[in-house]
Amino acid sequence: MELQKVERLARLCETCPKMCRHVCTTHNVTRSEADTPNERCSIAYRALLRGYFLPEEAPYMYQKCATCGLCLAWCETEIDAGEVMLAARVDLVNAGMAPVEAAAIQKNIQSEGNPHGEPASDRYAAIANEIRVLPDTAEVLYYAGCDTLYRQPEIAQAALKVFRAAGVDHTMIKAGEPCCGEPLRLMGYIEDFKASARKVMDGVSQTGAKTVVCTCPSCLRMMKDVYASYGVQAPGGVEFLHMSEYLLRLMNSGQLKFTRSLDLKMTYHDPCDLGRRLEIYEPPRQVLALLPGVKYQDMFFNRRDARCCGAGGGLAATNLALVIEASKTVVGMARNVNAEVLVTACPTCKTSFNRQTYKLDDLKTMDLIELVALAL
Amino acid sequence: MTSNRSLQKSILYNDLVAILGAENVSRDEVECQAYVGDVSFLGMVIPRHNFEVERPDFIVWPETTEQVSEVLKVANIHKTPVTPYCGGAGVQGAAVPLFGGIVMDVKKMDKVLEIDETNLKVTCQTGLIGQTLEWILNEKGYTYAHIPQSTYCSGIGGFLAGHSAGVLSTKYGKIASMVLGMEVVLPTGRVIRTRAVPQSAAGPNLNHLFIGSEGTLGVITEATLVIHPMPEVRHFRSFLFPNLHSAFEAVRKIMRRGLLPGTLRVSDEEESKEFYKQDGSFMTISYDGFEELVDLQLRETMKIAEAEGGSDLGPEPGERWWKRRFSSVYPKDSGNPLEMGRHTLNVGNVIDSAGSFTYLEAAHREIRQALLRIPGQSFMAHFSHWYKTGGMMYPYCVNTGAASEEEMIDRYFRMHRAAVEVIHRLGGTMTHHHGVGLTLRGFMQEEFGESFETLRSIKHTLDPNNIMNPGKLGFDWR
Ligand SMILES: Cc1cc2nc3c(=O)[nH]c(=O)nc-3n(C[C@H](O)[C@H](O)[C@H](O)COP(=O)(O)OP(=O)(O)OC[C@H]3O[C@@H](n4cnc5c(N)ncnc54)[C@H](O)[C@@H]3O)c2cc1C
Ligand code: SF4
Repeated sequence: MELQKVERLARLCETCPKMCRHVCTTHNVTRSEADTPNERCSIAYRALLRGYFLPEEAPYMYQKCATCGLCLAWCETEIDAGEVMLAARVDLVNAGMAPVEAAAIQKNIQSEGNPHGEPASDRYAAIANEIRVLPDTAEVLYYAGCDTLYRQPEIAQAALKVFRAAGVDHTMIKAGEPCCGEPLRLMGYIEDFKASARKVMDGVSQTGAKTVVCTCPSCLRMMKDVYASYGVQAPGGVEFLHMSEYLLRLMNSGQLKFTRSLDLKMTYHDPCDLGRRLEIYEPPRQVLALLPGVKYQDMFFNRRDARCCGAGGGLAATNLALVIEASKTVVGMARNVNAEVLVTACPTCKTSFNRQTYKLDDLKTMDLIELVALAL
Repeated sequence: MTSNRSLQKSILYNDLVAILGAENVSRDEVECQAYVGDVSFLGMVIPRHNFEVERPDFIVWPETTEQVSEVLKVANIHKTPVTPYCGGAGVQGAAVPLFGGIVMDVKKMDKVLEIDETNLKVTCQTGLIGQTLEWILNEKGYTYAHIPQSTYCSGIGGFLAGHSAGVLSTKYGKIASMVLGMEVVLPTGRVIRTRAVPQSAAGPNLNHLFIGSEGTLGVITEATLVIHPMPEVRHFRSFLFPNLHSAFEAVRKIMRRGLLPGTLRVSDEEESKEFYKQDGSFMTISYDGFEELVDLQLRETMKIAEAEGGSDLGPEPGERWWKRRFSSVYPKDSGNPLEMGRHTLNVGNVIDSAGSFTYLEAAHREIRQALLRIPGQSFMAHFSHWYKTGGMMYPYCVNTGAASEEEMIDRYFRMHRAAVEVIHRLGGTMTHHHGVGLTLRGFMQEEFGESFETLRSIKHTLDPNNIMNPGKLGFDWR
């Protein structure tokens, strides 16, 4: 079983008195003992000892872990219970026990190139005019990702506006970005994930870019960290950056000039993949500090301790009700610091928080790049 | 054909759904399995070694006092056991639902109802995990100063029903000293409240009936607790004494002098050697509050320590211990103290007795002797949680080498029997803060003597159908 590779993690975690239960994203919604990193690892460990999963155990592997890394952040043994879940999902796929939502994601990516099942032809619908004039090759490649393009296209529009304003030689994968594959990895389809990874890296090579900039932390994490661990290498000499890091360069070198003061109280939410996974905590805050008219305060839980928007681990597909509940925690913390804008730097987080804030007059959710574009 | 029992279960399920909504009632087998045990040796052994215990039939998550009350009324109609469950991190098996029935997980009762900064108190529901409440208070500059090593995994309901003690108890007291008032749903579903006042002479204090009741006398739904402004500083000092006796003398004099340490921890010679690589008896003390007062107390402490032959090891060992005070309970490749009985046939528990200073010295010697007569037994202790009149001994007792599951469990009880015999003979109490649970239930009559009958008649009056956590605290088996 794939679980054999993480046997140590599951075995050790099973004996813990649940020292990270108080930070677990899903436990803090359901409050069930079954929904704790420890119990999920125990279920996986029992399956490993038995040699197979029982059908009733599958939902606990798929629907109850946001792979947010909060358990890891609190675990002195450095156990990432999410890793155990991902291994379990591979075993469940291999046993033909993956839930229908997982199979749908695999099918959607195969047929339309995105997990949402939206038509492939619509991928660049919101930026059609901009795409047409982009060159085939450029110094900088902007990789937007499925969640940005199909769910938060304003992020891509803002990114392109900022590149233009700064005079950056940039492009996108004009033939159509392949999905970064993370949804496949999260659902346990490892071979499909590797195929996606290879397609993305081919696309990157073809643009000749030396810098790849992502607005989605998950896409970035795949390219920068994860692909290599699955044997897919990036073309030599390419650096992968999050938009916040790239913006900071543009701002520090004076390439971006701002004409508008934002005059807003803001707070920033660290997305799990950008913060805990890639340890990019300061660049987004530094960008905000350089924008005119920003009054800033951190939320109580920030940086490594930041709470999850709820939508990690594929939960938006397998357990949306839980995602909706989980997202309220961060929105509540943003209210506690009287923020008018809850800033994040991830399209998935934005979708999560928007479900709460779209109906509010005094608190809005925005991506960092949208604020930068607004201040131009 | 549907049996009578499964028909009854279906009816009960629907009664519970009517009160709580389907999302707050579970009969999912995987979920029910997650509530079979707790962190105790027995609680861990039960799920792992396939001992025949009934899995709970239902898990319920009430959010309001009214829902708790309605569930208990229904449970009385069905004569079904109800076991309150908070963090499930008790170490004596108090939350193990030995007879199945309903497990009432209180963790969705997690509201902070009021933080009264003028009068220094917080009122909250009891399902909050300790650290969660602490964070909410910290955000406003306060602490409730109850920080047991289980603060990440246990909750207010468990602390109250288990009469827990935090690492700062010498200064701030055990949870009982922190509670002003409570709301309790009695086993019959009736809701009562005690007055949240600093003190009262209007009859006996009913808070004390429910603190330590381990879910047998009702469900504690709300509590008003004392809070404190966050201390400005916390300073540590460690000392090495020639032997345990001289360390005890220093503690006795520190307490007599009226000093108020936050933490005060003394290791016996075994623990000093094992953990601190020192010959003698190791002591770490801390004071918290405002700087001048903290420094004054430290200076007095150093004088007393020196007079008792203690050598000053400076602040560093104590600071390091404070930073790593949770480390010991995380799983380790080299073996986790809490995996006892899970992957092995090893047995372990803390027998946390308490008594006077005179008691502590004698008990350390005699319990050690009594336990070491058992094959495969080891013994190592520290002392913390001090009072002017005495303190608590925390021996970590491990037994290895049992040949079968039955022998492992027999050794577990033999270890406790041997210790409790000494504890009671020397005038101590068999538990300072870990409680009774399944481990010590058989010794309650001995612990209470004649007065156990009083406690038992209270139980019968409040819980005529014996639905609340049956079999615990030495009350009737089902
Ligand atoms: C690693 C570790 C360290 C520990 N350190 C300490 C320590 O420093 N100090 C200390 O005192 N203890 C300590 N303990 C023991 C444990 O934390 C305490 O016994 C604690 O009180 C249990 O709380 P819980 O929320 O886990 O309760 P549970 O185990 O869920 O329940 C304990 C008992 O309380 C009852 N109960 C729970 N909630 C309610 C309620 N609302 N109303 C009525 N009854 C209820 C249950 O039925 C059960 O009988 C430690 C345990 C572990 C695992
Ligand atoms: S991830 Fe670490 S802290 Fe969390 S339950 Fe597992 S072992 Fe304990």
